Amino acid sequence: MEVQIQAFFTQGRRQKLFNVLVSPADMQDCRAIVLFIPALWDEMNHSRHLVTAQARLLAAEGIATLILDPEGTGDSYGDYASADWEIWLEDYVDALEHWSAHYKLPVILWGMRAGALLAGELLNRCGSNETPLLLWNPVFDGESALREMIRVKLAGQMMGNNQSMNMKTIRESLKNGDTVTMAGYSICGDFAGKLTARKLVDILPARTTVIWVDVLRNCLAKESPAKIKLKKQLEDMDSTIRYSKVEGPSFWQSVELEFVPDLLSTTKSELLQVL
Amino acid sequence: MTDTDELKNIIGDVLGIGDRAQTFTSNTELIGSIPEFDSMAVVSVLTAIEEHYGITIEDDEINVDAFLTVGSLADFVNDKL
Repeated sequence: MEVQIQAFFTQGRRQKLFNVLVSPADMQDCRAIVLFIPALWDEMNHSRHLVTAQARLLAAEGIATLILDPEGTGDSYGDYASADWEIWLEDYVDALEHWSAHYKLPVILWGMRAGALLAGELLNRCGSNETPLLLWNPVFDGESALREMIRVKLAGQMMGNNQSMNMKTIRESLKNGDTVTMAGYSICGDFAGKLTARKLVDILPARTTVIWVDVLRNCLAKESPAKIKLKKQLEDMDSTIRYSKVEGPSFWQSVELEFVPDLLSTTKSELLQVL
Repeated sequence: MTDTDELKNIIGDVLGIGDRAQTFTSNTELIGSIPEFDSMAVVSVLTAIEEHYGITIEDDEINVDAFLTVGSLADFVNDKL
């Protein structure tokens, strides 16, 4: 099936937002819509190429994907320092409601890394139990996403022989509502607070179908106790977990842009099975 | 206990320099010598170490000394194990 890619701006709650719609060339052939929520910070940039490649594969099967850059990120207007979790959520709610009303097709929410947290919240807000959730290497706890970012700042300081801030002072600054620049991104205290308050198992509605695909450096390694516990928590909520793992690099943070063909084929196959 | 071989594999995987990493010894310098070893790489290696060994590295344990050489990184990990 022929595929088309359209790029356009929509008016978000505060700013103009950049959208990319990857779909069958003829939307009459479309049988489902995926709404993608990206990873945070540089992880978003490092994974964009794979997300688009995945969207193309899905479009060839009649599944459209909307890739919306949250306010202040990617090519959307606004700046990161003013990022507001609630505004991001509202912008996604608006997009979801618009496309659902316009096309009346099954919807799948797709979150990657910390984007999984926003995807889960979006599902909670306006999805139904019929809306599957596709997760790529999900971050289940916003605190761990922030910790990694703070570590990048610390590592940068370490290498520049600058000890002006340590983990404790960075966290205190954020708690006071200050904006701290980490790895080139200005992160405001409010955003950090909302991020760290989010845990996916607290957000997800019960009886969700979760398609969880992990890219791991070593698929033969024993599953961590933390992951086993997370799966059990989801099962205790009567959620259906379709878990897959493929071998590959952590492409969202790799030095070079990486390609993981197995991730794309596995994701396509899983989505086709739930539709 | 960990040895430099395991760490070489982790560093090689994380930085995407698999073949080069196999030539490392415990004296191989990391920060400041390997161009790919930037601040993002430090964090990625820390996360990979945590996942591989099932340990948690506390905020105040992160310091530049651990990343000076492959050997110093091995010492850092062994202190945690």
